[in-house]
Amino acid sequence: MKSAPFTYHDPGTVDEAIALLGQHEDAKLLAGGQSLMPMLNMRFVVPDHVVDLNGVAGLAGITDTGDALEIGAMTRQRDLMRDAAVGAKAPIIPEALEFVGHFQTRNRGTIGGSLCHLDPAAEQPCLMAVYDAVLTVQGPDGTREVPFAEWPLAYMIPSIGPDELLTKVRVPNWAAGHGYGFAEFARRHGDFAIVSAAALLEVSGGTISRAAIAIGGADVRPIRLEEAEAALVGQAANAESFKAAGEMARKIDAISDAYVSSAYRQRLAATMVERALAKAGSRAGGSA
Amino acid sequence: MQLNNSFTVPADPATAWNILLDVPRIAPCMPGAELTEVVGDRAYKGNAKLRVGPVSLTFSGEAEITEIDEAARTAKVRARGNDTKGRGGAEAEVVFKLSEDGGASRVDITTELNLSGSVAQYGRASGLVDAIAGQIISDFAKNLEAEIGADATPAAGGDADTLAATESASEPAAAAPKQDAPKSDNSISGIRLFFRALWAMIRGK
Amino acid sequence: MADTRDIEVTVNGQRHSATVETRTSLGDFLRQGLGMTGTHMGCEHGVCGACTVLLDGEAVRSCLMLAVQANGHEVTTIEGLADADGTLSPLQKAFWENYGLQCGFCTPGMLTSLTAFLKENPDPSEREVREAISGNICRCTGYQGIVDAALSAAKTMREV
Repeated sequence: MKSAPFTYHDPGTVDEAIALLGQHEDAKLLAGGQSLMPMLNMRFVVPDHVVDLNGVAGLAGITDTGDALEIGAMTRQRDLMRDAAVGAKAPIIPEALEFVGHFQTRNRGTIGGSLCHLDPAAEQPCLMAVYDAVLTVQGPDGTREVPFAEWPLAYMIPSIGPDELLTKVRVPNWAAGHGYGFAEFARRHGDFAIVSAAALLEVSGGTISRAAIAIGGADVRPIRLEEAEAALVGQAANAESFKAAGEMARKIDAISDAYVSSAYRQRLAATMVERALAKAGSRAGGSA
Repeated sequence: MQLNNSFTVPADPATAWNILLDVPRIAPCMPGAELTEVVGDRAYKGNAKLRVGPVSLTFSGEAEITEIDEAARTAKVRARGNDTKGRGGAEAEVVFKLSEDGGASRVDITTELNLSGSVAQYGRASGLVDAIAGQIISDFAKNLEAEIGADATPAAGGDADTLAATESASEPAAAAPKQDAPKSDNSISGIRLFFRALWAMIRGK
Repeated sequence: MADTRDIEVTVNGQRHSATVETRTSLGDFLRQGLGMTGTHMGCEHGVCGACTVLLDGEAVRSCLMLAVQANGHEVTTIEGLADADGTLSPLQKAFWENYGLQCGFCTPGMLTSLTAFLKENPDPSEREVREAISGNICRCTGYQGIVDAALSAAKTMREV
C-alpha cells in the first residue's frame, strides 16, 4: 500500500525541527524510516506532517568522552557496528546489533529512532537499560536528561513531549576488560526478539565485582534483573552462578500474546540470561 | 462488546444529576474530548482524541441523549464517530445510572461498544478497550471533581490549580515530560492515559 | 494540492531531474517515475528485500525511503549492475551458472544486496553468505543456488 499524502519538511537544524513540531500538531519525525515507513505505507499512522531529520546537522556521531560514549540520536546502526571506540569500549553494542533487522535496514536505521519507537522487543532499548544510559531530550524550553529507567512511559510511548527531540544518548563506560554478552531467541534471524538478554560483568580474581542484566521482549519495557545482579556480586564467575541468575530470570512478569505465552517467555528468559552471562564470563578479563 | 464502569461525584444526587446533564460544562473534563457544536436540546457534535502507542486517533462524530428518566435518575446516550483519517469508527449505546452513595453520588455506566474498520483490531487485544475506558472515566471523574470543587470555592484561580494538582497526582512515579498543556487541550493527557491503561492491561489487572 | 518537491537523483550513473509527490517511495519513483521496473515491490514494509537498491553504494530498502530523500544521492539498481555493453557482472554470471533464480522476483534484491555484501566481504564463509541474504526472501529456489552463486562469484572476483 502507499502512504497517505502529507506535507514534508526537511529542517537543517535541531531548532528548526523543534519549531516545526511546535507549529504542527499532527507531525511525525522521520529518522531512519525503517519503522515509520512501514507504518506510513500501511496507513497505520496518517500524519499531516512528516519532519525528516536526515538533513539536521549535528545529530549523528560518536564521541568518546573518556568515561562515556556520547552517541548522536541519528547515528546509523551500521556506523555503531563499525566504530572503533564503540567496539573497544562498549563491545556488547556491535554484538547485539547483529540481531537487529538485516544489514540493509541497519544502513538506514538509527539508534534514536529505535529508542523513540520503543518496540518492546527491540534490542537497542535493552542495551540502554543494561547500561543505565542517559538520554538527552531537547525542546522549545531547552534540554533535559532522562535516565533510561524513566524513558519508557507506556507501550511504545517514551517520555518525550510532542514538540521534543531526542538528540543523543550517553553510554557510561565499564572497566576495561569487562565481560559482555548478548543472547536472543527469535524464529528467524533478524526478527524482533521473542526474548533477549544483555549482560555485563566485571570480574577480578575469578569473582564478580559488578553485574548488570537486562531482558528485552518480555514486557513493554526492558527489565533489569536487579535481584540477580546483586546476588551475583561476590560470586564466582562460573556456570553455577550464571544458572542461578537464569533461574531468577524465570520469575519475571512476562507478557502473553497471540504467538507466545508468558510461561514460554519466562523459560526463554532463564536460558537467554544464562547464555548471555556465560558469554560475558568467558570474555571477562580477571576470570580465574 | 460490553463495558462496565462507575465513578463517584462529590455532590448530592440532585446536584450531580444536573451537572451531568450540563454537557457543555462537563465535556472539557473528558480527556481528549472537544465539544464543537450543540445541535439541539440533547444532541452534540464533537471530537475525541486518543493515542495507542505510535498511532494517534481522532474520532469525530455526534452524541445524543436519547432517554432521560428524572425520577430514576437514568439516562441513555447514543454516540457514534469515525476516525478522521479513515481508519474506522466506533458506535456506543451508553446507560448512566445515578444513585446515592453516602452523601455523594455514584454513577454506574454500562456501554455497548462496536468498533468497525481498522480500529476494530484494538477490540481484539484482550482487555485493552476495558483498560482504556476505565482510564478515561477515572480521569473524567478526577477532572469533574476538581470542576465541581472549584465551583464551590470562591477563591479565584483555584480551578486551574486544582486541575493541575489533580493531573500531577495522577502522574506516574517516573518523571513525566514537562507538558505545559493549556487546560483546554485535553489531548495531551492521552499520553498519561495510555501509560496506566496499557500498563494495567499488560499486568492483567 | 499534492505536496511535491523537485529532486535530482543520479541513477546508474545518469542524472535525473523530476518533480515528485513527497509521499512517493524511492522504489515507486524508480519504477513509475523513471520506468526502471527491475526493482520489485514485494511487501512495502521492509521485510522481503525485493526492493533493495544501492544508495551511495550501501544496500537499502527502496520501499522504506522517500524519493525526496534520494535528492543529491547516487542510486544503483539492478539495471546498473551489468556493464554498458551488456556483459553481466561476475555475480550475475554466477547466478546464471548456479541456478540462482527461477521466477526472478527476488533476484534484483538478491543481486544488489550481494553486490554490496561481497564488496565488503570478499571472502565470506557459507554461513556469512546465508546471514547476508537473510533479509531477502525467495519462494522458488530454496536459497542453495543463490548461496552457491555468491560463493562462486566471490572466488572469481578474488582471482582477478
